[in-house]
Amino acid sequence: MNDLDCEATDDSRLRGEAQAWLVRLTSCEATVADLDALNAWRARSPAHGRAFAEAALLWNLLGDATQQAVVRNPAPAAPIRPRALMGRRAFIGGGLLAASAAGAAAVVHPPLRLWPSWSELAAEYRTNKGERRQIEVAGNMAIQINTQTSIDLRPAIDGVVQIELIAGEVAFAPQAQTRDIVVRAGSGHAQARNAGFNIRRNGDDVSVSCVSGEVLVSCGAGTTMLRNGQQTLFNERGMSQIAAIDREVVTAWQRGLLIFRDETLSRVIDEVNRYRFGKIVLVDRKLGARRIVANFRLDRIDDVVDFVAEVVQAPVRRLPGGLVLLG
Amino acid sequence: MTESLLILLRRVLTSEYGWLRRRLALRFGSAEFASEVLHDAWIHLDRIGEGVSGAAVHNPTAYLYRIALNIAADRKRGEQRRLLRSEVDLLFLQAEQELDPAHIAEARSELKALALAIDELPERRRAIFIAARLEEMPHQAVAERFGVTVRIVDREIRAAFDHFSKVINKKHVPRRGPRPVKSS
Repeated sequence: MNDLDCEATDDSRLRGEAQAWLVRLTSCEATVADLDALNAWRARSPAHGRAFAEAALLWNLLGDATQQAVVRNPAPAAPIRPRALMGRRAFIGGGLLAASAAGAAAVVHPPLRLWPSWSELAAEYRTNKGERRQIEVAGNMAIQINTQTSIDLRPAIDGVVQIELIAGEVAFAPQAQTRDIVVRAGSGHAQARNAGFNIRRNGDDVSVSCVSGEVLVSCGAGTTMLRNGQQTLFNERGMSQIAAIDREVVTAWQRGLLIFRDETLSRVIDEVNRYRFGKIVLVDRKLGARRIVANFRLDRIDDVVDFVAEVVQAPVRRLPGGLVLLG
Repeated sequence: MTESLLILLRRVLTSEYGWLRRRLALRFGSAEFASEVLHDAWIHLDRIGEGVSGAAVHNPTAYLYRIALNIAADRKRGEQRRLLRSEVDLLFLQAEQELDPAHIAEARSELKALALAIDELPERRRAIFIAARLEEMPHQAVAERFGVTVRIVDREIRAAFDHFSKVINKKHVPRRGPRPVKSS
């Protein structure tokens, strides 16, 4: 094996290792310890550093490339796939196809931004970034679905509506005709009848906020009853104490608003990035601790950039693909 | 903390540094970590122990060791913290900036080729990659949506990334041989 071949093998080995680091860091499970380990790996040699830089460059480019690819060739919008019960459905024959076709039509031209009514057909629904939708369930229950959300509707058991929140945020409003609902998310679930509540999941962390009525929240660690104006958080490690919430802030998205009352800029940016196309990145991290009080309209979410830049007196650099560097 | 106590503790930290470091290294399994903890202790010694007077500290070395344990615990907790997306994005941006600007610009010009390459992926891999990259879904969520394990999600993303990496590198074959002569 000559020198060039050795170099090529080393290069490809380092490239593979750098890519593995990349996948780990973007999985949403990486910790500070991982970051330390990565930096140690990068520092091993200039070739290591370069391999990671190349991987990062490619990853950054792929952000724009994926946008382009999706614009030309849209990934299928919800419902993604009719679930389980396929055996039973097969007997109904054309019924399955008809429901899907109706679903597809609604995706392209959703009237009043409503999804087709949920039927016995269990299905998964998901919203893209910046989208908000409403589904009618069981004839009269409306579920509001926020940005980047993925939920699974399962067939009712004993008349109890079964929902799984896979990612994102949903809100339930009390209805005239009461129905029991169970929403499973992560390591726990919330159960309610004729209550208004908001449930939000980010990875393994789930928060449940009650705005009217009562909601029973359970996870491995125990059970809590939430009342109007209360919130609890849980994850696989347990459940938090009940906290008071600002109802207006928690439910603002349902009215097309984002409300921040004395939030840190870091938190504001993370929230805004859930809705806004592209990404705002805070380059000067010290600015992240600044506190912000503001309301924003979700349909004018880009206004946030100029507003924040002015408030914290920071420079703004707008790059392709909606990427904004602040500070 | 009184001035005299501070001076005492600093003196003891210096003289007993070796012993403290060995104890901590044994306890936490890393000499490097032990050094970092003692470094933190040295810097923050003046902030520790409000209202503690020299008389109350019978065994300065043991006292310092307890301080070090608290610092170590804080560090460990900090290390478990999950990274925010914004932190990871910033890391990638900074890493990219280490490369030569001309090289970055050249890579940028391959955007279209990359977009086409995305469509060349097998359907499931493409869908998984888009979910992870565009929607930035946590891999756990992607796994649930597609009814697979996280390991498979990671594998699919790596395979996609590998494919893109080949697409990009094909365009940048390093020159071997003399450069063409520039004509003016």
